[in-house]
Amino acid sequence: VVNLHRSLLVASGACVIVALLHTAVSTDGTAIALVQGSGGETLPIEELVLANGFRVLVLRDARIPRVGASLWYRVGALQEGVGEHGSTHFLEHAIHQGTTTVGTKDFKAERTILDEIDQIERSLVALRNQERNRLRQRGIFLDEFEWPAIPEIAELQQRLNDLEDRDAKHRDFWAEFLWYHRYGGIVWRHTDPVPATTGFEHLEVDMDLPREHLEVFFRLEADRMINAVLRGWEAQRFTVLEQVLNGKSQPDARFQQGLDAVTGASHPQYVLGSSSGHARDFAYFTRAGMLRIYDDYFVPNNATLVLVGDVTVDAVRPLADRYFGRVPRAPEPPARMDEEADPSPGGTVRLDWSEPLNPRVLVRHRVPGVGDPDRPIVDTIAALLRGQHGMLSAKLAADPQLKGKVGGVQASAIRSGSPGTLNVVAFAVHDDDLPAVERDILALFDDLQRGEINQEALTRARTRLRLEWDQIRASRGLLSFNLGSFQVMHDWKTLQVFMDARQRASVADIQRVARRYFTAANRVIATTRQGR
Amino acid sequence: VAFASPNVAQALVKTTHGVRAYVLSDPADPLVRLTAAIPLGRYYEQAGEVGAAALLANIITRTAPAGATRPLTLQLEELGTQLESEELPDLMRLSLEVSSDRWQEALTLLIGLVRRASFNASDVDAYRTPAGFSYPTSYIFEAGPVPSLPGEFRPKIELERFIGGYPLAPADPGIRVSDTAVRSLASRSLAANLVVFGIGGNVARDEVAKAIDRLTPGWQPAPEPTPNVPAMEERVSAKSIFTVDVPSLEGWVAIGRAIGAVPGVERAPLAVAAEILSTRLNIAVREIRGLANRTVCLLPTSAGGSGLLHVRSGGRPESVGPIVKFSLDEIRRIHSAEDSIGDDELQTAKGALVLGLWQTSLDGARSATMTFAMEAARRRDTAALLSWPQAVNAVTAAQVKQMANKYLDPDRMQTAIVGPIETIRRARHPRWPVALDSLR
Repeated sequence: VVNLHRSLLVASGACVIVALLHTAVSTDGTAIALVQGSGGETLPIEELVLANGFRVLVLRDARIPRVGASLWYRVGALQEGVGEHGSTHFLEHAIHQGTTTVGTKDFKAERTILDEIDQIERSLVALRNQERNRLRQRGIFLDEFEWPAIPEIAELQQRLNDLEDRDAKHRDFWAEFLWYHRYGGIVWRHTDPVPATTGFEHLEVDMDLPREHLEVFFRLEADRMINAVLRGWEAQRFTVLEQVLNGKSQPDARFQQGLDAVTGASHPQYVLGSSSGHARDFAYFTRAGMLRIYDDYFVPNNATLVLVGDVTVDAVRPLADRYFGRVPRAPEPPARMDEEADPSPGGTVRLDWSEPLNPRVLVRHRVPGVGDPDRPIVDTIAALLRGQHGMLSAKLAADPQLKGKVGGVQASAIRSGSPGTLNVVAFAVHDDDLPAVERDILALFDDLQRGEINQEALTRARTRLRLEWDQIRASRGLLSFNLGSFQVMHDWKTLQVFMDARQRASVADIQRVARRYFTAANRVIATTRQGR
Repeated sequence: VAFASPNVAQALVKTTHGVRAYVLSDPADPLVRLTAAIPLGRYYEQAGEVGAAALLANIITRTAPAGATRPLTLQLEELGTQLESEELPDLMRLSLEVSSDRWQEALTLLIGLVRRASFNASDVDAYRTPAGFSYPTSYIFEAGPVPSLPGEFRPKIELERFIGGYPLAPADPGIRVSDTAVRSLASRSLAANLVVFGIGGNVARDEVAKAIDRLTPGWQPAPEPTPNVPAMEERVSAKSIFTVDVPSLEGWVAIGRAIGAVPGVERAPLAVAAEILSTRLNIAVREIRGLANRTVCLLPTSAGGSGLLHVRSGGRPESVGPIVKFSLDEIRRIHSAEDSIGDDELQTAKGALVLGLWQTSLDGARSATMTFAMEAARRRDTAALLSWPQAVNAVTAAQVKQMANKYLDPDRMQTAIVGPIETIRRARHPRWPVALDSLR
């Protein structure tokens, strides 16, 4: 049951340098991509690809003796089928419970217990399924705490609990994270006790470390790639479920999920609105199912390591060879991440949310994914519309019927490799003002289609986008994150191209994109109201 | 260890008009970060000024300086940036981050915001209530009084109100604050010699000094204010659980006590003790039992150390009882004389505090100048910051136990729970069934 097989194999540590388009070659033969931005700045990113397909991107920034490291796997909620929602997110937690070498005091003793746990778990899930079908309550009560229990299920659950308690005696809890802690590792993106995030298209582990302790990252993450042991299952299952339920307890999050559900038919990105998962499905996850995902996707040829900071490619090469180079190349992961999303409903969809919330109108349009030449322009449009002095606020302020009746505006574009959305929101002071707000938002899209763009607002939008890019390239963590996310969405080499295109977008570009995507047939309008 | 703090003495610039600024130049940085650290917060309020600090902070972050022709929001959008602010009981921080060619405009704006000599009555009225003064009332991390301010953890605020009230807690919402109180506090806090600037990134030190000189003539100094550090007398003596019913939420928990000023020699061992307790809490509550996503011990945020020391956590209704029980068990364990601190956990805590948190607080010109300015504004110097690694690395297991014995006393901890209280009372976790009422 425990995934040991890959650790037993040792591959050649040969390192292959892949030549890049538009690259200069340094004296030692390493390929260096001199990516040039519109401001004349360059990002000298070096790329190594090991013989097993493991990719390493290195950008040296020696100002501070620390390194931002992030390891990206191209796996996420997009690969989940019906009944599996949240499995990738759950796996993210499950693979942070130690390995065969870290987090255990006696792995031999554990292994017997873990095999037994696997058998009990299969029986338990089968019985749960059988019982759920008997009750005919699927899709109504989603939280397993609300399901009626029968003695057979309770008994199996108790046996599972007892086995986990036995296993716990052999465990060294939270060991990997504490290694990072001890050696100065900081997770800059969040404060959760797992140094990782899962999205629709990625699972990434990130850590910022003093340069002298960078090897800790290689040691732990290579081990996690081949030797993860899915321990402490029930505790982790409830921890992840807790994140899902916390989201569901927020009225705004419930609205967002409803909105996503009407945006598309069955694509998990739209159905769930979040890669966290679906409460219902957590009761049916099994170790066997998780190991299938682990075996398919956690392989060197589906991973990219991004290092930004005080490190050179010469220093990285032996570490990469020693730790990741020994892992054999695996078959290419299944194509589920690349499958076309189910078609969304045509025509304008309207959602009138009945749970009381601050009155607002939200207008959403579906937009293409990163890699499409139109996608950077969508970012420009979002920047153009948002803000207290952006085009949306100006449109609403110019309406005498709405004087003093608008509470604020938002405009954001969801960026992903698969199609995303542009969302425009305006809050009204009173429910009665929503029709006027909606009329003005739709009129604003007409303005964009006619090319009626406020030049001052466009200048401010470009300033904001430039600052955003400056902040990304000035930060180890942000740059490492963006390079990795572009690699899983499309190609890391297009990051700066994308950022430049947003800033260069002309009025004609905006008009073209508005005409193509901001149409009634590609639109969702949602309203929330205070009083019902 | 390759990391070394930037030279703080070389970074300090004292301008003609008595303004202090920490300036670090990094020509490779495309950005400049500008920070103003102000000795402003409820610990600086005097009799009759309750609520004045929050109101003054609100005015500073929402209105353009006198004489400005454009609103503050438009000036910020023209710079492409946002105004960051942080309000602590004894410090207010304002920061702007801009592309390097815009730093002079940003500095002009920042100095204009904090260099306010007068406040007219309409300004004060406009921001008085309700927007001018509130704390979270519905969601758990609701935005602060103004959109740019971070939200507070509501159980913490409720616990502060329950245990000690003002000034441990913020003043009550809707309290009337007089114009006089605002002006008086402003004259004591917004002074040339008290506001400390931090400017780091792609800027030249000499140019910054000249720009500050150009922008600050006539800015008046003021005597050093003394923070009114409360004695933190707890008005609740018996251990209890305080609940606030918010049916739409899950259960959120704060367990804590008020502590007074922490002597300098105790700061490092107390920080190590809190770090070790946080690790133990996470293992007990999350890793072993899966009850909460995150459970941590947090020390007060004031420079002197006075305020609420608390454990924060949260989970589904069934988990609230066990979260409180197992958290208190861990507090009891570290407090107990029978418990010992292992060398591994001691070294791990030290690494996290020094190689992790301390290094990243000084991570480059932008971070370091912000940290220096905040330290100088509320501690008057940066010595404690610079000697922090030595202080932490010298901590012994025995000192950690002393701190746990002194500060982490489970019998003095109170508990606040915010959530659907009746549901929480009725709920029982299937594996860790602990009734909330059994903990009273």
